[in-house]
Amino acid sequence: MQASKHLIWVTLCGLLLSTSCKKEIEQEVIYDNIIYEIDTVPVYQSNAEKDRLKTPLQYISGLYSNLYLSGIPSNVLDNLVIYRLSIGDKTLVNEMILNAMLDSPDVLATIPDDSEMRDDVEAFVEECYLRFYLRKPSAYELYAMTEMIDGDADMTVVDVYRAFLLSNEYMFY
Amino acid sequence: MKRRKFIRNTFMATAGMMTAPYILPAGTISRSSGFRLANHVVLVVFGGGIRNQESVGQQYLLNQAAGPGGNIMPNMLTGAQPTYNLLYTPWETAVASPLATKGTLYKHMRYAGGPTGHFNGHTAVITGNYTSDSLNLSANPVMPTIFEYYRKHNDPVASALNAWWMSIDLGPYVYLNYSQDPVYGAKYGGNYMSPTTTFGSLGVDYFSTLNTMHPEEITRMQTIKSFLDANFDRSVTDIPGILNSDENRQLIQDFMLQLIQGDIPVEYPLPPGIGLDQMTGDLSNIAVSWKVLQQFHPELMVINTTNLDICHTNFSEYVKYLHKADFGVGWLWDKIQSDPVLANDTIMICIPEHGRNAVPNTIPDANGLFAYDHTGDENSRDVFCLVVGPPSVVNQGLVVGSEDAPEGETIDVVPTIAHILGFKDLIPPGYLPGSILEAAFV
Repeated sequence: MQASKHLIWVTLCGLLLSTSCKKEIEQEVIYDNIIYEIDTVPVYQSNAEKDRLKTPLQYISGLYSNLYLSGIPSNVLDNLVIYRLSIGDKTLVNEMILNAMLDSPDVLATIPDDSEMRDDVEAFVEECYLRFYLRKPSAYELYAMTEMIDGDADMTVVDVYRAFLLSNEYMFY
Repeated sequence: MKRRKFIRNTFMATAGMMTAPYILPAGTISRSSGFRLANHVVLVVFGGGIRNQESVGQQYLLNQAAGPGGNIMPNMLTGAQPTYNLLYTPWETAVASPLATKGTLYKHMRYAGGPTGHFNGHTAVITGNYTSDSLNLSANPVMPTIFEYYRKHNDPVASALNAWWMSIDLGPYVYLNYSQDPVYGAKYGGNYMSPTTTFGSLGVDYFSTLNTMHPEEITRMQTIKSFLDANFDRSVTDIPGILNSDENRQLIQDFMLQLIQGDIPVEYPLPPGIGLDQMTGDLSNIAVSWKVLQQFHPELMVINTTNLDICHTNFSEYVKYLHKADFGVGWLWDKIQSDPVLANDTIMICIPEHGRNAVPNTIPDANGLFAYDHTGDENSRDVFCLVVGPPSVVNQGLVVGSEDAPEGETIDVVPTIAHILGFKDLIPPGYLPGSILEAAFV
């Protein structure tokens, strides 16, 4: 790993001698991905670091990218932000928007099915915390959440996702 | 009249000392801390500005020397309609007799302070306080709204399901369901909807196939959400906006989906034989407001209309919209009287946010009629107010106030609603400069 890192670094340095600043930034991003194979990185050590409330725009675009695994089209974002204005209870309208997304076949294609969740509940819980909270669960959270899912045969992936995406912590960053 | 008022006031003073619930004239038991005249109030705010000349003045085209006078609001006002030079197709009335015969008409009332702007006018009616040039259009009002007074000063605190602000437009109006006041605020705010958006094309596009959640799904979601929330030290109350209880939130969501998906049929405020192409935004707002009234029987609802603002550029269309809005109000009152919970236990107050200028601008419409703005002249501060209710509570067929001696101000609406719903005396001093519209009540 170290050897390949060094090789790429040297190659990059050579390239940078004849490229622009913009090019330099792009190459560094590629370099990081190759070396560390980053997919999802916990950016919070604990939820206490989250003290800023997401704006409606951040909340809706975050929901979309978390569920569709792609950026939200600007017209969809505009429409949903306007729609959100038309209802006074923001928890209610957040629920409706989330439920509509969770009903989408495109979203259902991106989430694990219930049997996958049951195969390895701990891994599923860890994945949920990383995907939605950008942190790892504490030992207690991992244990308790796993128990809750294991203890309820009717609990579905959608139930768990819905709870995460409507939770207070998801509203903050 | 004076003797009756004395007896009533004496009774109110006695009732104020009582702590137990008591029977209302309409036969229902009050839940509030004080004496109630009725258990439901519907406030209709005519946004856009209506000149008294075309409403209670019944001048129709006289003012422009272009035709006859006449009453173009036959559902609300008594008086003969114009018979020629009609700019509109007359609709048959929704009520057997005009609402003015079922209540008290303040023929000339003052919008006495602050700019004659739409948001200023709305804010004055809904908060009971005039505003200034510095009113922030992107923030909740500084002074509490009627929704907050109502919810906070009921024992137990009234749920948000009982207080609704139904606005045709978004813009600054989305901020009028609660204030920035630290004693009141979002915690006591009313539910807000803008039906033309909530149930318009966006609502249909995104939610027409969405299923309501099963109770078991909700329970499972709540179980996990409770756990997650218990492990995060910021509460949902940090999130701006009003809150319903989990149960009420679900009721509202189910109602919305049923309405969007057609399971609750919409009734259109149109006379027989008039097509849907004649619907206006104002009438759509009234139609959905009626569904909310019918579904939840809220104790307080505020509805607005704004189509009348077309008067800046098109006087003929303004007349048409006024005629239609009048029908919508009559239709709504008729519907209210058909509901077993609301009938004979509802007081409706209708008031324009402000008037419009005495002198037209220079913009003629297709009929050569000139338009009117609202730039703060005395005429734009002259409005009417109609208070309609059961004869045991509201004086019937009474007209008060004249051009020379106007009676009441638009900021009197909030204390009047507080009086009707029995919590006026619980509002701390200094909040409401207005007075109760006493003359309206028996």
